[in-house]
Amino acid sequence: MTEPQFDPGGFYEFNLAQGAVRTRDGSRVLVLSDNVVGPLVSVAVRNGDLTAVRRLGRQLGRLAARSLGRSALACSPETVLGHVGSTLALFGWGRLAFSRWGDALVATIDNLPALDDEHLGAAALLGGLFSELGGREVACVPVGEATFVLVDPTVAEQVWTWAKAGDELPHIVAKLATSEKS
Amino acid sequence: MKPSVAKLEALLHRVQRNREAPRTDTAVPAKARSVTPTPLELAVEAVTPRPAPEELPARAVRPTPAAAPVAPRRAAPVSAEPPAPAVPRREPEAPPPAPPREAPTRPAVPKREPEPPAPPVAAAPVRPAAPAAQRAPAAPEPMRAQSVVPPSEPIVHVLGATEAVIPASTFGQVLERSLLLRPR
Repeated sequence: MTEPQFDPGGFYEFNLAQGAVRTRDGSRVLVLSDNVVGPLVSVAVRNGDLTAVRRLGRQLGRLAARSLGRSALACSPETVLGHVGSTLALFGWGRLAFSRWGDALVATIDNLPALDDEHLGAAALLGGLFSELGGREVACVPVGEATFVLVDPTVAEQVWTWAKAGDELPHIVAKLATSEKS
Repeated sequence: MKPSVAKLEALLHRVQRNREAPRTDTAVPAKARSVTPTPLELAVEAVTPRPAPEELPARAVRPTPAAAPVAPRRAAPVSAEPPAPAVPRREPEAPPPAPPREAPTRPAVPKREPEPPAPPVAAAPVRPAAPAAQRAPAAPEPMRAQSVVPPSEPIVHVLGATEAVIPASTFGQVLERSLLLRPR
């Protein structure tokens, strides 16, 4: 089975006559400076409402899923990473990487734009993205510098508490065990 | 005496006529002179210009130094930097052939030098960028930017305490196992 390749060509359409930028699926996007988005995300974090960022993540997830051409769940992790990482890169959110610590799937973003100190904005973005791809709610908990553990939302707060207490990723993963069924 | 005087007068008159006659006859040789100038005329013409050239040469000599700037102009574009102007000034006539000889060699080098930077430019746009630049001018109004560097090869790291070799699995399986994690 051949894995689909991500095609960045023609991802954006710049319509100078109408003054609009659209992605290839037709949704209109705005090109914003990180100096503008950062404060907005910080305010959202302080208000405890990152719904808009999570919605953006879902949109990116839909773009990546459309690029895959079939369910991400049936693709290899490498293929999903290629499409998701490319989509994130096209929106300027940095370079995505996957790693596995035991059974824990960990996402890392290099060159992440500075939004908020605790990376909760990026966590909301990735949570919406992987929820869209996975077909179920996924929580991405920041556990380090631009590092996020993908867990069930029910355990997200506990993992977040450990991370806030200073536990590093290996210790956090060691405190987790696979349950039989969710 | 009178007849003799009359004869003398007649003779004088003839002589005067004869003297005047050749002036009228010289009309033909005059034309000949105009057509084929005598060597004297040529000599005069050759000489007369000299004084003029002497004035001109002063001007003509100046033009040679003035021509010198012309020579460096020719040499300047050819040999980009220094030596070309100095050589043509000393030898106004001889050097001009010389600089063109040097010309092809010197310019050839600088022309080849700018070329090398060009290939890196062509190589720089990377795979997607080049077609983007080509498409952009083709479709003027709706432009499509492709100048995005795709991420490098996706890599999935297998780490952890167990260091177990993870069998080939789908993203769905990997995600599912991660979502099954609970606090111990």
